[in-house]
Amino acid sequence: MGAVKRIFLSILRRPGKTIILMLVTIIIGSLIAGALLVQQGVSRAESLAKNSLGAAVSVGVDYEEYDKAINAASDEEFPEIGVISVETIETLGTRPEVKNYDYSLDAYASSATLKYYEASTEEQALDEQDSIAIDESNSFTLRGIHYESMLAIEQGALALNDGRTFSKDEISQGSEVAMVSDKFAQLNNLHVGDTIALKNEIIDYSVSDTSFDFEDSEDGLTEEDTEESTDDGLKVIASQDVNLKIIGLFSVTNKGIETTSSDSATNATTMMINGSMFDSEAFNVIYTPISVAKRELDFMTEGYAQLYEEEEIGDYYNNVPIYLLNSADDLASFTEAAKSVLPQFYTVLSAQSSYDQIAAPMNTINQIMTISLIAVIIAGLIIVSLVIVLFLRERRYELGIYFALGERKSVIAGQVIAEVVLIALVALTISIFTGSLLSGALSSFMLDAQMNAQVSSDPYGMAYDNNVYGEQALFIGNIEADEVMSYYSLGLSPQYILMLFGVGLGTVLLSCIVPMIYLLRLNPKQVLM
Amino acid sequence: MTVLTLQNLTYSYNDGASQRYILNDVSFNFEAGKFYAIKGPSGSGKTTMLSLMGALDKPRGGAVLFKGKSIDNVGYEKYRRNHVGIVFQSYNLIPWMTAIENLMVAMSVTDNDIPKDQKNVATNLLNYLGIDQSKIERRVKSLSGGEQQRVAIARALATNVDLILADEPTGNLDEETSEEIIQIFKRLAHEHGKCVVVVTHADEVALEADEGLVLSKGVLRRREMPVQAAVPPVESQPIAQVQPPTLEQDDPNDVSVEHTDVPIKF
Ligand SMILES: Nc1ncnc2c1ncn2[C@@H]1O[C@H](COP(=O)(O)OP(=O)(O)O)[C@@H](O)[C@H]1O
Ligand SMILES: [Mg+2]
Repeated sequence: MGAVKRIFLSILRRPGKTIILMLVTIIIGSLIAGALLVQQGVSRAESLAKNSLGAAVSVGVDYEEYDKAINAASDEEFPEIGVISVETIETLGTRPEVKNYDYSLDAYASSATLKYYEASTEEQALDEQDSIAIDESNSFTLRGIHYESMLAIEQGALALNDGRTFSKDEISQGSEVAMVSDKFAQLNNLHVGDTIALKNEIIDYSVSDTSFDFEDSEDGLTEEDTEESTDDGLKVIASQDVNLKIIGLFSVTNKGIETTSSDSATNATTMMINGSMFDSEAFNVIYTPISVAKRELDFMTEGYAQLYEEEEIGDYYNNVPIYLLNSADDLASFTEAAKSVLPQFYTVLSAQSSYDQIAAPMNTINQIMTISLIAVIIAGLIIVSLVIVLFLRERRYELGIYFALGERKSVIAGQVIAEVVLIALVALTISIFTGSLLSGALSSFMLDAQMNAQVSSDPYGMAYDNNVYGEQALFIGNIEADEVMSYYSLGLSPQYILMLFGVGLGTVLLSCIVPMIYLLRLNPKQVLM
Repeated sequence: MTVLTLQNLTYSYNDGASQRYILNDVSFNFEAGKFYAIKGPSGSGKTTMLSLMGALDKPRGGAVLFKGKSIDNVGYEKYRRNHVGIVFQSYNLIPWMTAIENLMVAMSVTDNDIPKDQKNVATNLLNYLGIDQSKIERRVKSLSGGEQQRVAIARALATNVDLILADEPTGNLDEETSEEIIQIFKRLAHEHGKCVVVVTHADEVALEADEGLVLSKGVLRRREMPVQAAVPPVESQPIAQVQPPTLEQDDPNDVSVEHTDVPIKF
């Protein structure tokens, strides 16, 4: 009757004690399991949410840093925000973390004939088109892009509907080709292969229709129609035709709309900047190779520079690079590398920073679970210790006999611990399932409570304020609390089971310390004689 | 041959500030093949002395020698598992085990050589002590007091030790059963050469012993043999002259003396 056989006999022959210890361990194990499952659900929701945001990042001005610098600076030396050069953008683009990258340049062109698609009031817009005389020209964004396949399409913000995307040659040669949205095309009765005609006009807003003599016109502004009035009576001092052949149509996907939808917190910010036009902007952007947009932007900046007799023109450039990283995990190393390359006050912008701002309810749940876990472990330690000590007290004759028979103390202690551990293993296995039942109830309760707390503290969803908007928002994306919670799910994973057994067995083993002290201090003479 | 030696053994309990001496410089040699009975009034320290002999406690002074070697040197645990078997007044069997399992616990603990077929050995031993086949596989708590004490003695013997200590082994038993247990002890000493030391306050037991000892006021003394023994109470009296009474042959629980082929000695 070796110790091993004694362990099993003791468990089986004293079913009452076994069941009591098992029930206690199941209760504690279930509570631990519940808390672990909820925590795991939270972290899974976090990583799913982060993954859903993708691994796209951009670079932009860190206004917080800039504000700090301004506050610290003396009046004379006002800190300047530098410009990200194309070289910098491309240097970062060759980083090993980067899968694909793109950068774009926005220029503007207008047309008196092309209609601007209004997304939110589609039906109305069509009606109004007929009733309201179009006596003003519409301005469109010419978005020059560098990556021929279009990151917006690869990222799912846009979907190719008809035709094709750009070719490498078209990008490098600056061919006059364009991609427009299907809505825009439909509204203007355009098809792949058609050519759209726009004008890039330099307008002197300071003068009205009255005669204006633009003397320097001959050296810089070489194009036709040097002096002309727009319909609303503004003076056009230079103009350049932009004729683009449509090679493809895209539709704006839900993802693309989501990032620009008016009920999102982001747009609360962006709308104030861009006005109500923003909603529809995604449908009216005309994509071109970057050199086309650059040419138009150059024309515009040069024109205005001459008009206002300014020298610097570089400041008008607004390259917006988007880097698609291999995975969200590469963010840290990419950010680190970017630091040394980017001009002062620039930083890597990612959705993860926006995520951190709305992760509060999830963090709260996590904290509550951590506290609960600690409380359960402490209570478990006390209760299990007590139960084992009580059982050992009842077994003191048996233990005394082992002592009297000359059994080694380590073997006796090992036998007791092994019995407890075996029972705990069974109990923890049961806890895997009872715990998941518990966590189901627990998490629906917690999520409700947290959502309510979130809503009451921020009824208009305005609390979250990030500085990613416009084009960047389209790629980088934003996420809101309820969206993160929608990713919340419970599931048995190997890590969860390992954690449960680790924490559960750890608790049970620690609970053996006090019983072991009792056991080793047991005086067999007093017990037996 | 001297199995156990008490050498100037002293034991005391802390009684408040002072020390209360229970054993005061006790010295004695216990020989193989002899059945000793230690008598003494209640509270005289018999149990205390036996616990020192069984290495369940440490003396304050002096030493316990097993076959000439201090049990401090042997090691208490090792001494208990290999050299001594202890029988208690309250049997102290593991209640949720069967009789044979209780024996096999002891057999698994000892370092002494035990034949491979432990189950067989244990069964023979139990049979020899009067536990028949039907009771061997029963949980011990369902056995009578006398039966439990037989199992306890069997357990003490199961490790094949030379020294058996018993503290009031008949204290909870009726007269008839007590007598049977005493006969078992006697047989262990006389037929199997064990050194058997039984602590008791019962005169009947003391009368059966080869040597009677009295513990009183911390001192252990030889007791004059009772008149019935018809032998002069001399210390140097040879053991061989003490004739054990014959066993009653009609007792079903008792195995006759002739059963010397029973493998009690491994
Ligand atoms: N743990 C103890 N603390 C103090 N005194 C004790 C303790 N155990 C026993 N005693 C005392 O020691 C004396 C001897 O006890 P014991 O050896 O049990 O005597 P016996 O077995 O002869 O009746 C008794 O007076 C008893 O009260
Ligand atoms: Mg006593």
